Amino acid sequence: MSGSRFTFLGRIIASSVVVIFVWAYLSRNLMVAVVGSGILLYIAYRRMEFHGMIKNVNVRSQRKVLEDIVYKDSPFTVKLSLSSGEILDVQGADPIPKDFKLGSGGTAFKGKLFPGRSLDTTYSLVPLERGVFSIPPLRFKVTEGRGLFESEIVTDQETEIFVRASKKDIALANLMSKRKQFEITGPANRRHTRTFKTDLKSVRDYMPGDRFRDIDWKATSRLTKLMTREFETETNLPTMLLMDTSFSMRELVRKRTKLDHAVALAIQIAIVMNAQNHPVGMISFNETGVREHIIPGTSDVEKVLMSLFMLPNPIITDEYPGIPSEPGRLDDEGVTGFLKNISPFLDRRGRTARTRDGVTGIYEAFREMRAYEETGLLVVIITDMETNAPSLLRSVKMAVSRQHRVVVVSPFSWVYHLDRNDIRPEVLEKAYADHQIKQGLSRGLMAAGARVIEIGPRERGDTVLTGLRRMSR
Amino acid sequence: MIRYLVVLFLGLVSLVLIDPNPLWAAPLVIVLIGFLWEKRSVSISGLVIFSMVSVGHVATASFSDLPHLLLLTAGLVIPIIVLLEISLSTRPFRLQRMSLIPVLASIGLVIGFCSILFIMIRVQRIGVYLSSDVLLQVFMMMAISILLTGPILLGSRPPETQVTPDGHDVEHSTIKTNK
Repeated sequence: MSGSRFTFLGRIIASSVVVIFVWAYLSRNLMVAVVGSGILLYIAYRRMEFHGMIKNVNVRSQRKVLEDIVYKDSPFTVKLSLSSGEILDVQGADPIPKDFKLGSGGTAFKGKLFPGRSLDTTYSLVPLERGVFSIPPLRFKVTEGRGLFESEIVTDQETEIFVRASKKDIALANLMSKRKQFEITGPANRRHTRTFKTDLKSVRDYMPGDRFRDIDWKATSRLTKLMTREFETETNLPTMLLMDTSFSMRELVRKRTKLDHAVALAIQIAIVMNAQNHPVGMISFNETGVREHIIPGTSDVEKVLMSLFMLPNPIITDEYPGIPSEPGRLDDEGVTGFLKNISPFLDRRGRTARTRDGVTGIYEAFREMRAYEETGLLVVIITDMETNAPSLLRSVKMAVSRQHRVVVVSPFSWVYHLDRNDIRPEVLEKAYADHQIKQGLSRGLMAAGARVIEIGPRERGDTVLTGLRRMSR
Repeated sequence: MIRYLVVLFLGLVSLVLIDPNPLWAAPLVIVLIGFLWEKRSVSISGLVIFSMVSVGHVATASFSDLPHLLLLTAGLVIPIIVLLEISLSTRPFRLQRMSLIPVLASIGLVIGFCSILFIMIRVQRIGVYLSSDVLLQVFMMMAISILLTGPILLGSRPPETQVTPDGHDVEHSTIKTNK
């Protein structure tokens, strides 16, 4: 809390005292000086009293989000209450955090606090981004009873808000889960994998050891001998979502990031796969390491969704978009080369890496999969391929060699970031160059045995799921 | 009602002590208008003008003539401070909302300052200068006031206020998807 300061009225009265003093001096009048002194002493005493009052007063602030769950683009209500044991004049406004806009109501509050009666204000905010955010501490002004001084009080706690993906994305995912059908074939030799018996294949003679519930009682009564039903067996395909959360994915342009799109797609994939009884897991990784690892089948899809919602918040950096490792970013070739080769090893958090791949997030993700998972997973990597591209290629090769089915879902940055009204030749040249690099990478990935699905900003989960279906066959 | 009585009292004092001409009590009309319109700024402007113009018309006040000075203090300074408190009190005005302690304290301090000067005037050498020159008395009065109140008014002592964040909580239950 800062010290008290004069209000406009206080300044006016203090200035009046100065004028009275000057007048007393000019008119050689002691009586005017005595009046001036009296007013000055009155103001001084008021200030001392105010200091004493705000030193002892206990202001209670309560900021509460009324909704249990907050979704992106959906308004939620915040209720702010202030109460105090003393009579206080308060005035202020609850700050609106970045990435939020005011939905309805007003964040400003002004009024008198009386003991046993709180001053309430209710307003709604609309989150523009998904992630974990916080409303900054509340600051408000307390005004002295006569309006001569004011003091600012700052509460020391922030209010955390966890914003999930938009309702639209989740609703779409649920809708798709009812439509999409997956028939997964092939081995999946995992501990958590279950085999389901679904469609009736044939009816055969009963053999000792057959389960009692598989006996076809109608056929048995008709043929007067025990008959057993045989079913088609279907295997669940554990699906692992690999979410790239590097800076390029989190770059915010025109209120959306590639990561937001990736999250929307991942939600749709996770819900659809879960609806088909395929266990879903997730690994999120950044430039240098793994953030979170959820093994498929060990937890329900809600945990995966929750982790998707909690992926890092968007960022804004200069000189974006574009593949950052291209020449021209650093003029000196020697410096560029040095940084390119050495810098990854400097960011190892105390661990030693033997290869350059060993310090990249994507490689770490596959290394963890090798350590904790078995072979034969459907691996869906959602990445823009701008960070650690060579590592991605080598990691995919390694995954394919371990019989994983790898699908790389890749959003292309320039499609997200290009402004139709601001297309310049140099921008197009850079975009084309980046596109060429990306095409080269895609060809390399496909040659390694992965399926690459290019997506644009308007692409929905259908495209990816169609690709996955082909993959599963 | 009390505030109108105080204005009336000041008006009467003005007629008796300042000048029989009622024109010198005219700034009090501005104070009255401020009361009627419930405008603090108007009342205070009137009060300041009264303090400067009307009180300034009393030319004879000096520490040499202490009874007269005390009479003027009791008749003018005390009602002016009371009127200042009334003008600044929250609207609508209620007698209970007036805080007497600051008023009494500032009146007591003013009387204390006057006493200091009164004692000083009795000291042999300084007293000669003080009693001979009113300007010096004015200067001393101002100097004492500013010296004593300056640190309070200009200092920014940061008081520690207890703010209890009471329920900064966001409860998120298990995830719910729109099924």
